[in-house]
Amino acid sequence: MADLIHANYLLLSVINRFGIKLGFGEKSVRQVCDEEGVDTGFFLEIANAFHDKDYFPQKQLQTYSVKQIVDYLKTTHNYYLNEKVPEIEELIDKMILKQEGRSLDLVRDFFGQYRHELAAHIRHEDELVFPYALEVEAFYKRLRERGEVLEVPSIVKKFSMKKFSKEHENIEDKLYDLKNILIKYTPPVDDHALVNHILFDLFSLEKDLNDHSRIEDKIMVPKVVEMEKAIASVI
Amino acid sequence: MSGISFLICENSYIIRKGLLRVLEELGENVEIKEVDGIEGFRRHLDYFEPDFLIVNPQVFGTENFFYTDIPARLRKCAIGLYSCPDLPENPVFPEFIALNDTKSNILEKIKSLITRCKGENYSNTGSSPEITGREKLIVKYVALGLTNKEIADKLFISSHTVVTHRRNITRKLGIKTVSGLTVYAILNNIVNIEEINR
Repeated sequence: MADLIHANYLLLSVINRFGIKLGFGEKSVRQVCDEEGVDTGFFLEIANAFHDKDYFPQKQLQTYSVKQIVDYLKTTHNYYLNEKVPEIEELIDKMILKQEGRSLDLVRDFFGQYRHELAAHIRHEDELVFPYALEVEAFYKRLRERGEVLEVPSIVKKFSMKKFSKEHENIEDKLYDLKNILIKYTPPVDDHALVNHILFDLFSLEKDLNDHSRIEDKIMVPKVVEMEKAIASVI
Repeated sequence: MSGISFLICENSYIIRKGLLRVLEELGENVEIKEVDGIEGFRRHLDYFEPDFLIVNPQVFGTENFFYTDIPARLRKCAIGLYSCPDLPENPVFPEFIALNDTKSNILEKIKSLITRCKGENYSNTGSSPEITGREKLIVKYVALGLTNKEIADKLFISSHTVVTHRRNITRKLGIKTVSGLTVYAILNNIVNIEEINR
């Protein structure tokens, strides 16, 4: 497990999301996962998808459930909204305390807008997309177990993963803008270290969000789409 | 707003990666997804709508794959990827890349296809990185909350031209959103806050 962190230290936040704490000694990934009650196959899938942007999930490995994926994604959402974003906000406030100026207020307002957008996006997924995915899985299981057509839940009839993917607006755009505003267009701030810290955080949040949406696109979406197809062929 | 997306379908890992490397030269706003076979190709098209396809015909194995596997919308925007220097007798693809093409050759072909399909000149060189007076005016109107249509009416140009200007502005400034452009406009005294609040 330690090798994993040495290979890519950004996986630290991933192991945290699985509830795995440091101090695991020489234990292997499987040993740590077993002790923490984490599905090893699923953990590896997430770690791989997070680490390698060209990773293709292997079909035979897809034994984990949509519920597991959703739980993981929800923990990640929580991390963004309740840890990372407030942290950056605090740093921006700190910068404003050190240096008065209208332009920094603009930066703070802009980041505030971004936070609202991110929160709305996350709410949309937590309250609509994830429940839909779980409902599809539950219905798919019932269908397979009983082998007969039951009443199709209205949410399954009403939506499709494709519909959701289309709505997937570019949430990272504002983050991208903010980086350029800080780098190119904000009047110089005296505390370099602080601005650097903010920029590092913005870059890493952006990367984390990209890795996150890749996990949605590569691991969750195809799984649900496949179930949708199987359902459509029966009903 | 100004993004272009590709889907690469090629079974060789090395070729995919090489192509990816070349496509990255097109700029930051390029989204590229890759698949290694027909199954992944179909699955991706279920939820990803690329602007352009780059496919190796051999992956499909059938003669008429162009009509059975490639959605009608994408047939005009598909590039054939050939591992041999000789191109097929009856080319169905509007554009081809051969394995022994040079990098600039490949980029040229792709850019020319983009230009043909999108109807505007796609190149990220040749224009100065600073925004022009005209573009500044457009930034101002955007910051004031005008729609593309309203800007077009004000400046007596087509909405299409406004879109092109905005694409250039985004490329030059590195700012994509309306609220980002508003912050830029205020910081650079293109507008003042009182005007915006009015």
